[in-house]
Order: sequence, then structure tokens, then C-alpha cells
Amino acid sequence: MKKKLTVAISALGVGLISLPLLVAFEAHVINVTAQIANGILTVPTEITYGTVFPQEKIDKTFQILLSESFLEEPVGEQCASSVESFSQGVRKNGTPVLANRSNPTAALGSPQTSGTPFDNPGPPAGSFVSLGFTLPNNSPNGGTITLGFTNFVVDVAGPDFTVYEVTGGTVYPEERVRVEVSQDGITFETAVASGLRDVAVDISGTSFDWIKFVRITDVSNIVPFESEADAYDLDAVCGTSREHVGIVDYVIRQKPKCGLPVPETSPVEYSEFGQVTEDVDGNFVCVDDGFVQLPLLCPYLSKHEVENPEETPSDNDGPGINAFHGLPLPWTLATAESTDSLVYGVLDALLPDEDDTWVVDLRVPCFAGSCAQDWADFVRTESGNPDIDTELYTADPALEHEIFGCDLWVEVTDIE
Amino acid sequence: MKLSDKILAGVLIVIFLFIFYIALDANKYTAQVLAIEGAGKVGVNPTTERLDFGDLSPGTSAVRRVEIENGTAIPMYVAVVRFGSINDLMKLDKSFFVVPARTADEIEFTVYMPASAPIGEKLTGRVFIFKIPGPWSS
Repeated sequence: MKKKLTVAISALGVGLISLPLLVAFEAHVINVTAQIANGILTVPTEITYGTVFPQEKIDKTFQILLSESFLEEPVGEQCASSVESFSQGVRKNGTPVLANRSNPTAALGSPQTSGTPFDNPGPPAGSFVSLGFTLPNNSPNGGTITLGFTNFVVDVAGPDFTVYEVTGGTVYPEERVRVEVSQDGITFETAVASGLRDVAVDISGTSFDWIKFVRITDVSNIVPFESEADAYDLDAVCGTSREHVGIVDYVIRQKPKCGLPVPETSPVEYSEFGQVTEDVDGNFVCVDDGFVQLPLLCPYLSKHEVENPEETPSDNDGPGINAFHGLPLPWTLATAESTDSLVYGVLDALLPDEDDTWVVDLRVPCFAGSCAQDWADFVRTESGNPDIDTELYTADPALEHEIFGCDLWVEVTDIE
Repeated sequence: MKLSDKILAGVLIVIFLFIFYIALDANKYTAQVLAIEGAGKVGVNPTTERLDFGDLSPGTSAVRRVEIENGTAIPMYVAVVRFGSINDLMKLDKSFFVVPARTADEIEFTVYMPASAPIGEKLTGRVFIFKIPGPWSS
């Protein structure tokens, strides 16, 4: 029994000793990764038109929106995490700012102050950075610092971030800063022209609905300060935090539709529908065995977004396309990815532009040999192309009474 | 301790460590989809933290892909195991396959929202992707 216990304890010991080795093995030797594809989502949407007749026009709509789970991503809190640049001024008497008030990284992370105008007791030296004055009169600007955030600082109701300043005592000249904000660290807009001490900033007054950089510049009136004053003492900058800001770019592509034909049915009936994929040559093929592509409906579908007057801006989605496009056959991946046959759109949770409604119009083709006299005019008018080869868009008479199909794939191409 | 006991203990330790490693190394994802009312409505959530298929009205479907890259010199046997209420609606293009050495592959998860879907209900689940090194042939 004692031996077995010894063996068990030994095994456990070896296991524990091996744990760090496994971690090292995992980190350096085994290089196998599995990750969800970067922001790519495809949504084939099925729209049924039923039985239709040549040159008939039928409108259907579908709606693409940001999901509830996406919109519910909580807004958290964060503090500035990087110093992008720092240009320190000097004290009023022209001497350098003390070393223990000159470390710009002291402005990173959580504040040591409470956000009240006067901090008693004040935080120790080294926990904040002084911006300094520019002599002789601090004009046009004093010292300046640019800080960056890891996540997005987003516009919410009320202040979006706070600049924390350190001032001890109960009476002191006004320490003021200009607060500018930026999305890229290059183009800045002024959010607060002259904020006193702890400054709560709302970015809704700028053209940005999110930012990642803040530039803080001393604009204090130097006159009332004592000679050893070193201008604005920056403790921290903290605000809202979202990992994603909610801008989703997408395209709508048209791909052939696959179905499982019921044997010996004419016209062909399908017991179920499946997905299409592309081979290495970019030709569409059905994923599942036994499935075949339905006669192609894609060239006869137009797509136009329904403009929403309450949407701001209303023109962030691409132009629509008219029916009668994409031919001659074959309809390949290149056709589906061509700008002649796809449309794109943008959803933005912050504008808000949380949904787009697209009208998908079917312009029913005629069958060769049975077209009305105004068929050519119909195609030219509906396509908006007076030079279109109208013969290309007449359907094969052998397909009369058959079920045509086309899958609309909404593919998310980017997310911010 | 007899020699046979020592050998047995050694083998058990190796097996334990192997299984421990495979379980530790597995990718673990949350999957979810919300059934919404209406027709032709799709709500997207393309973030990569989880297999979120968004909001789907009946008759629509969503596809998400997981990329697997084997940067080692050892073939990897990949096994996908899934649980939860979303499982009945979720199809995979492959559940068990080999990723040869220094190659990449992709798993496609498709959720189709049937007409009988319970509107307003969020269907959730868990997906585990185990990667087992070995002399597998593809």
C-alpha cells in the first residue's frame, strides 16, 4: 500500500514538475493555432418570389442589422496607456521642471487624485507630470503631451473622459489646459479650449464619435503664479472603453443556388437547398453530394438600399445595381466579386446607423423565341444601359417552368 | 516497487500528461444565435471573441469560419466537439480531420434558422477544438 502511495505521489510530482515544461512546449515548440476568422461572417439570405411571368417586376426586401449581442457590448473604463509625445515647458522662473515631476509615464494608468478641484492630501511627487510654461508669457502654448488609449474612447451621453489634475491646498491660480482629441494621432480637433484643473470632456462637440488619442496643452495665464510654479500637473486621463466601436463594412454578393433534385420530376423539384462554394479555379460548385445548381436568377436581380431619412449619414452605403448585369455566363467567383454585381454597405452603431434595408427587385426574363416586342426596351430601361446586349438576357426556352435561384451572401469585410 | 510497477507508472504518467496537454491546448469557444421575428432579417456580430451567429429570422442562415494553422513539423488530428442548444441548428463541414505539417485549414460552421425557431430565444453552446499530434496521414 505504501509503495502504491509512493508511486501515486511520484506521478503527481512528475506531473507538477512537467507543467512548466508543457507551457514552454506550448509556447515555443507546438505552433498550432485555431482562431475565428477575422471579422468575417457570411449570411446567405433566401427570398422567395414564387411563380412569375416574363417582364414582370417584383420587389422584395431584406434587412441587415447589427445584432443585439453586438450592440450590447458593454462600455467599460480605461485610462491612457501610452505616451505618444511629450514636450515639456519650464517653470515660471525659467528653470527646468523638477525631475520627479518630469516623467510623462506618470500620466498613465489610474488617477491618484479624486477629481476634486483641490487634492488634500495631494499625491506624492512622481505620480504626476507637470507640463511647464513657455516663456516669456506662456503664449501661445505651454508644455504639451499626447497620450494614447488601448481601446476606443467612445461618445456616450455626458462626459466621455476626464483629465485629472493635481492641486494641493485651497487657493491657487487657475491651471488650465486645451484638450484636443484624435482618432489617428495625426489629425486633432479641439474638444475643450480652456479647461480648469480636472476637466470632464464630451467629444460630441467634435466630428468624432470615438477617439484613441488625447493631446493636452497648458494654456494657463502665467501672471498670477509664483516663480517656482510649473503649470498644469497632469495625473491621469481616463474615460470610456470599447473594444470595438461598431462600424461594420459589408458587401452583398450573388452566388448560384444549389438544390437536391427530386429524381424524375419535370419541371425539376428540389427536396432541399444547400450551399455553394468555389473550386480552385473560381468556379462555383455545390458543397453537398447530389446537389446541383439551379438555373441562374442572379443577373435579373437589382439591389438598392432604402434611404432612411433618419439615418446619419444616409449615403454611407454604396450605390445600388440594376437588374440585367453579370452576363455572359459562366457566373464565377470573379463575377460575384465584380463591382458590376455586388453592392456594399456600412453599419455604424455610434451614428446610429444600425440597420440597412435593401430592396431586391426581380425583373423576369422572357424565353428566347417568346419575347414580347418591347423586350429590348424593357431590358434597356431596367438596366439603365442603352448599349446592353439584350439577347444575352433572354432565358433558355428549355428552362421554362423550371425553378431559378440565386443566393445573396452578405459578407462582413471589416470591423472597427 | 517491482520493475513492472515502475514501467506501469511511467506509462500512466505519460498518458496522463498527453491527455492533460491535449485538453489544455484545446480551443474553447462559446457559440450563440438569437432567433428574431420577421422575414429576411439578419443581425450580424462579426467580432472574433466567440462564434456569434448574430440574430437570424426564420429562413436565414449564417456562416462562421475558424482557421487552423499547423506551424509544426508534426501532423495534427483535429477533433471538433460541441454541446448546447445551438447544436441542433449548427452544421460543420468537417468534424474530424488531419491538418498536415506546416499547412492551414478551415472549419466552416453554419447555422440555419428554421421556420419553427422559437422567436426571441437565444440558443447557445460550446465548441471545443482538440488538436492531437501524431503520425497521422491525411
